[in-house]
Amino acid sequence: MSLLDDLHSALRGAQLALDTLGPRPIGDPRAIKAAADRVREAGDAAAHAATSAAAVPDASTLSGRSADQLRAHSRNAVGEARSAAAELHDIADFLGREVKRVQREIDDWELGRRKANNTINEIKSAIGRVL
Amino acid sequence: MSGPSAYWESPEAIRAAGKAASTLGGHFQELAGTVRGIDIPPGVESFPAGKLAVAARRLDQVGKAVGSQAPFLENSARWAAVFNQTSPLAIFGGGIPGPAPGLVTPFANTDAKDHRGPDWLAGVVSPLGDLWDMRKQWKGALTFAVSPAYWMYSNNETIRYGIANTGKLSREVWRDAYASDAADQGDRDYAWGQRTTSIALVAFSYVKLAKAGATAVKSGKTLDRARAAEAEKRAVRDGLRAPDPARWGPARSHAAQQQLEDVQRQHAERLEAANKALREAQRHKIAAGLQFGWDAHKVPAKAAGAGAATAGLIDNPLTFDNAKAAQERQQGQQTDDLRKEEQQHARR
Repeated sequence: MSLLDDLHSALRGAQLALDTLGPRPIGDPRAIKAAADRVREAGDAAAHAATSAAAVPDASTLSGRSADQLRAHSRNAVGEARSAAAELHDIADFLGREVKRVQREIDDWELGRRKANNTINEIKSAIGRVL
Repeated sequence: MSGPSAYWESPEAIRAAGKAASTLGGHFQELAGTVRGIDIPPGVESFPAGKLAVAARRLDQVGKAVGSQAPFLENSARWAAVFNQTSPLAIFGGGIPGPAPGLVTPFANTDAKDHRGPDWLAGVVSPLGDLWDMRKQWKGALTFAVSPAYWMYSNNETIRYGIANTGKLSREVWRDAYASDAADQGDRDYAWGQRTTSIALVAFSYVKLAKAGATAVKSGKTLDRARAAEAEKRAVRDGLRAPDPARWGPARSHAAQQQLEDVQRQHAERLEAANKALREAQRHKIAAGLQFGWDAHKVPAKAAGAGAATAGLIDNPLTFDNAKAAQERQQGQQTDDLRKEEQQHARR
């Protein structure tokens, strides 16, 4: 096998590697980050509102059975609100991790693409020099 | 020692808490809308979309729950305003009146220690223990009186509207007022408490009505029995009915029987006297008729009345009537008898 054959064979391998990289990974890290930020803001707002809601019945010195029921009712509502806030924070954290993952996949793809293209260009240049 | 502060919450403070609850409720619901509106961009793998929906729904429910405190607190503020204005017991230092049994208000504190008042007052009042106990009763009575009136006052627009529409204060009007009230207040306890109070009042009214009805029926029965007894007594007295031993008893029956026999005897005597007078009158008339050629069968009826009046029977109209009726029935027979007697007399 001649040198030229070897170069052609290497060129095919590099093009195969480029094809193997496939299309650019789906996902816009900035958009995902924006969504994560919105979810986190909603969670923060829910937690803040829960704190304010907890203070409503406590601010009053009402006493009695209904007042106790009101406070119990309020405690339940505040607990629910805090759970919702925690869930929203969990979702925001998850989206934050997704931003990093998508960004890493895109970076990897672009790096691989650059390497394959560089290899192809180098092989093409060598073939030109041999010919 | 528990102070009266529990009952002296300022209505303005309660109302402010209600407004805060309303605002927060709206805020939670806005947040729920915001969370629902968040679009997750493509590229996110295995995103827990259900978790986001659950969080949104939970915030929505929290918003409703917190918001529902607002009417409760508003209602509490009205109670506080009413009690703070109307309590004549403020001078005791114990605060507003306690609730009626079953009535749920923010002040439905059944804890006995909250009725004691401050120490200095207990020291003053302790010699008057009865008065102190009376104070608790006053509380319940006053609240019981004020609560429904206040409910009607607070729902008067619905009630007036219902009356204007239906033309009367019907059951539907009350039901609409309740429904409107419960919807406005958004608080089950409040509606339940008011409903319980009103049901108690309605039940109380029905009990009173039933008692009045029972009394009326009883009076009516007593009256009927008295009338029946009087009618029977009169019938027995007039000889129209024999006394009933089962009804009158042996002693009374015997007396009534005696009375009946007396009446019948007097009746017979008077009839006999009447007949005698009649015969005398007839005799004269027949004699006169014979003089003028009258037929004895055509003796004028007026002569019978004259004879009876002569016997003094008109002293007793009833007896007179009886005698008159008997006389009219027997008039023909008597006339015939008289004629036969005259003929026999003439033959002798």
